[in-house]
Amino acid sequence: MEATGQLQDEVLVERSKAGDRDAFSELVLKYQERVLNVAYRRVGDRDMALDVAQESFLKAYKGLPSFEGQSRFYTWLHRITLNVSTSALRKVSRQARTSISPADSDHGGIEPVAEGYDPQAALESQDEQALVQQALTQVDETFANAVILRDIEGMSYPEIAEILELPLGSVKSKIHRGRLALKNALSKVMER
Amino acid sequence: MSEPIEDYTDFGDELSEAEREELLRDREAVEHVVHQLQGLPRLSVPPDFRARVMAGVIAEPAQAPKQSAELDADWDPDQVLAESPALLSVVERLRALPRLVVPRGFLSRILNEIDELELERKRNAHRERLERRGGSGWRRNLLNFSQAAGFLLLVGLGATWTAPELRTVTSPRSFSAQPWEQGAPSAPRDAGAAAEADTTFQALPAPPYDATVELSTGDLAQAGTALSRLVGSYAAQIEGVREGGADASWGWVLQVRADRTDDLLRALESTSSVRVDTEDQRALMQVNREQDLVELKNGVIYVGHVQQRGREVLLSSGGLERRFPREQVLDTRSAADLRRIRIDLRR
Repeated sequence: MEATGQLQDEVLVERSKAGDRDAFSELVLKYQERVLNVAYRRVGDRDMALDVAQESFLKAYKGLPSFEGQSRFYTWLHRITLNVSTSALRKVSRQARTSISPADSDHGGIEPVAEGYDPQAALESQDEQALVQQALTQVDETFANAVILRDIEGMSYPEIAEILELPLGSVKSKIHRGRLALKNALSKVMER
Repeated sequence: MSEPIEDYTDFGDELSEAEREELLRDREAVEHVVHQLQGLPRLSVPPDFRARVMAGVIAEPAQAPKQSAELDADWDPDQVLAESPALLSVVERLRALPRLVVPRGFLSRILNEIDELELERKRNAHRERLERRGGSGWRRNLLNFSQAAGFLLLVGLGATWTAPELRTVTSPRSFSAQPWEQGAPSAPRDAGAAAEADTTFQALPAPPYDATVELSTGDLAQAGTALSRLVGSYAAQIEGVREGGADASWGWVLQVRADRTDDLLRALESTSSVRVDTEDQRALMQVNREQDLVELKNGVIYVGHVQQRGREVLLSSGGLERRFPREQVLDTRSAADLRRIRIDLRR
């Protein structure tokens, strides 16, 4: 994150603390896409991810008075998101968690089929994505978090260290081990 | 690791003379085998060999703590990744997963929740202030209402009774028999009855409410009468309350169809004698439901017109139909569901 972005966050956080609703709206707009996708990769279900993302922002809002700026706002927000995701996953059964379907990840309504739609290709692509997602949900929480932040969100090691509250060396180790675990998990789900 | 062939014939004293002669006879065969072994192809180090070694080292830091600490500074998992085609392939598939697009209205959902939160805080603060002041008017009575609720259920239909703190209390007709959540809608009562003498206090039914709207007005009598008529035309069932005096307030708890809450909001907004703020708008819009919903067990929600057909749930939308076996359906919700809405009016 750039220094100017951080400075802007600090201003928005201070204004939000003072009760400026618009300032908090700006923070939501700025980070909603990232928060939603981190949640999605962790829980593997679109609707649950939306709930997790919403709850994460609400927790952040409620926690603003106690947020003293010792870490950056967005790293703090990501930490909240990962914690809320973990809580959400614990609430649902393992079966519900792993029975994700890419077909479910579009809008809920009945929609017409687009011209040029190749159902077979779409199915194969979705199957592939579903397997990768399924494998990711089977990776141990700490390692999965590290991989998601690094490989999906493209964060730096120091940023991940701040979010996971781990030393830099542990972060590198967890990223590497998470990737290996993902590879193993993927092999297993593809064998089924 | 080739050794001179002669070494294989130097057996010292370990062999008997007969054995030694036998082996020497087979010398040519032995030489051939040894040459074959030496000529076996050597393996070259695979490209991801270093990555595998590093993985072993990193995976067991307790066994090599010094090495691990040194590696922390210099070692980069991305470098290892780049050297391991198998691992890189997995990570590339992970990176290729499609990203979710934030749906329209996501920000509004969050802001609505925040508004609810703030409203609740304000209400609590207001209630605490009233309690500190000793309370007054029907607000105080409402606080006591939950205590009185059990007694109210025992009151006969249309009975009138007295209580020191509630002054004269008239229980609403059929109040004790009203199942708010499931009851069949009755004809709207004449809400004008709420404009009775100042001494008549009619307790509001207890929470929970699906939405609470707090309206303000400059002319309580005029706005109260206007709103009584208005809510009567939208609500399936109404209970009202009125109290006079300096702390005068009006209140109603009404049942409105989920798909009519939006109409009710528009009607309230068009009433010139009351002010409807954004919190009220949000409260009503949150409970509004224009269409039926089918929620499947896999978490997907479909919107349209829902009909129960034997062992199936039929959903129609825009000329399309879709059938869901009941075992796949978690819940269905109708736009005709009743919402329990409380409207407060104060000066």
